[in-house]
Amino acid sequence: MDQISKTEVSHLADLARLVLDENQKERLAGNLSQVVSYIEQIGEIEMSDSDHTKEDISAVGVTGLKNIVADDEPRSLDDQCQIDTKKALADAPNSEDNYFKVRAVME
Amino acid sequence: MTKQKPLYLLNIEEAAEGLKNGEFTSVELTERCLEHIKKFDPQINSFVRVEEELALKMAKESDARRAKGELRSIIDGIPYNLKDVYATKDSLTSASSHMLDDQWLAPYNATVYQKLCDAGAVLLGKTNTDEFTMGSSTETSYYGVSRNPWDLERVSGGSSGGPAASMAAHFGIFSIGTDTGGSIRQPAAFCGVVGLRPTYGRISRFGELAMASSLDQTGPITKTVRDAAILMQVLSGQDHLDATSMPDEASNYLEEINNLPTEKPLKGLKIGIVKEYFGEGLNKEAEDKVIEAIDQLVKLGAETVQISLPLVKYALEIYYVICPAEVSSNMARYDGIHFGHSVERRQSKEDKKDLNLYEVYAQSRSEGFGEEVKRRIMLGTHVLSSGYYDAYYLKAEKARAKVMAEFAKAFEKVDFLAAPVSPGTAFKIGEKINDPLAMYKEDLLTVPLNIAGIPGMSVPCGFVDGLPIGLQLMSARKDESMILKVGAAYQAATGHHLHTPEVIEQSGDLISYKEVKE
Repeated sequence: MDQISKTEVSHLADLARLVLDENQKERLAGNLSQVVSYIEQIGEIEMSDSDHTKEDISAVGVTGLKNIVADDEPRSLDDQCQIDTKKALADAPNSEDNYFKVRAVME
Repeated sequence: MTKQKPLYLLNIEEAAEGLKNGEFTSVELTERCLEHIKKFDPQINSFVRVEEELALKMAKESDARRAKGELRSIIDGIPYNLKDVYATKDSLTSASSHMLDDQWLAPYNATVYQKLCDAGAVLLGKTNTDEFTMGSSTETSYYGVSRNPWDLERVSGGSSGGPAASMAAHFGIFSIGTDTGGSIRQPAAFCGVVGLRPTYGRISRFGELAMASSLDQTGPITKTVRDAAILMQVLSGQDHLDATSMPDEASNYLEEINNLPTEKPLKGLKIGIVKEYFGEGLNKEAEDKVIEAIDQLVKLGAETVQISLPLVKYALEIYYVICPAEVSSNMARYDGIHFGHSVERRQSKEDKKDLNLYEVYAQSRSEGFGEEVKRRIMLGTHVLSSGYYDAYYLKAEKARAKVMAEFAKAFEKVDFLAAPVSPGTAFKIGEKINDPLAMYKEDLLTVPLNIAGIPGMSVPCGFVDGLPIGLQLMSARKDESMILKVGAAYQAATGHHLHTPEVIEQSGDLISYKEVKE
């Protein structure tokens, strides 16, 4: 695989919604190239097509658990995960009534 | 004994005993801890936020419960601190990041925090971490590094540097941290305290600010292994709010430890000595201390078995594909729209100009996140991006399955593994921060078990040039019993965990920076 170029870094920054100045782009291009060459060593591990497929891995991953679902019922208001709407909006920079307010998604 | 020792030096069992016998109240114990923190933490910087009022309120409530005979648990009334990466309705959460600094109050409680509240423990405050737990030295924290109480010019390790340093300095009776790639074990080793990372799925991740969802796990950071056993029982259990938490129940770990025979407690147990964990790259003196510790385990009745785990060599590479990939996904929630740092908060219209949505995201995130977080987001974005996904992420997941299988096979032959935690002792502040790859390599010995999802614990096993060394014990998935028993037996026969750093010694008033040992 090639070194990570500044152009590639710009592309990644775009995808990740990050703004980088020229110095940062240069530094990150260097850092990322270094790490990427290092992680390429995974290629040395012998693997065949019979090894776990994508489906196998997600099914028999690090927990061995499968299909953990919740009942399709509303949770009680006391449930630990219930969030008071006011509290949910408390730290939002822009909100109106019970909504988060955002800039136009499309022109 | 509890009458003579300063109260903040107590461990969980001693504190519980003292409270039970009426030697002191929870309020007194909490006050002593708070005073001690105020006196010495300015030099160490382990706390992000001390919650004095809250702590005293919780302590008072505990004393009232005790008076009525309505104790909730063995840790009722015992002061502790929490790594600042848990949603707590009672205290701000920052993840030691400018993204959340000083503004975000969680609207719900993390299950770990809820359980501790239900058990009656007293929250002293939140402790320091690398930003969003990304790092191995706590140097990426927005609030500055947490200094190692054994040598203030050195790091406490990371990312749970705050918790580990706080335990070494006795800022509280216990601490709770997280471990994604070694973030409990390595700082515990650097600070000479106990740090346990349980089986993935043992403790709920609900409300723990996610870094890498298939690798994160909460664990206790304590003064003794027995204390860790107690906390494991309090915190473990399946949670309907965390689909990755496992249904298996924790056993009564403390009882199992108490049932060990006093003569040869480890008789019949086989210790796996993994070839790949020793030798090249390790500081010789540190390695020798670990070998000494293993000899001690043999004296306690165990026998060693030489084994080889060839894939351990690739664990770090696998980690640095999977972890950043998951990080890049988890960090997407910090968007400058819902909460946290946002360019939208700028007062003047000039500053906000005519930003479009993309700019709100990009500028808020760039201002809020530090460089290491950005680096990992970018690396993750790269390995997941179109054209690279198969080459990196998919391959890493396949390799991961192989590593899991290799460890599982090893545990058919041995009961637990013993190895070093870190290539050496705590390094100097500033030594590695400018070389990301060198910093990543600090995790070489800890990361394999995160990849495999098995439990591991660091136990203090000695000192080299005044700096602590940790012994790493690892066992099969769900077998925390094993490492807790081994660790407890080891501590019953040794005293490495009983030393106190000079910097907090009771010689009266505030001590200025200790001279660096040559």
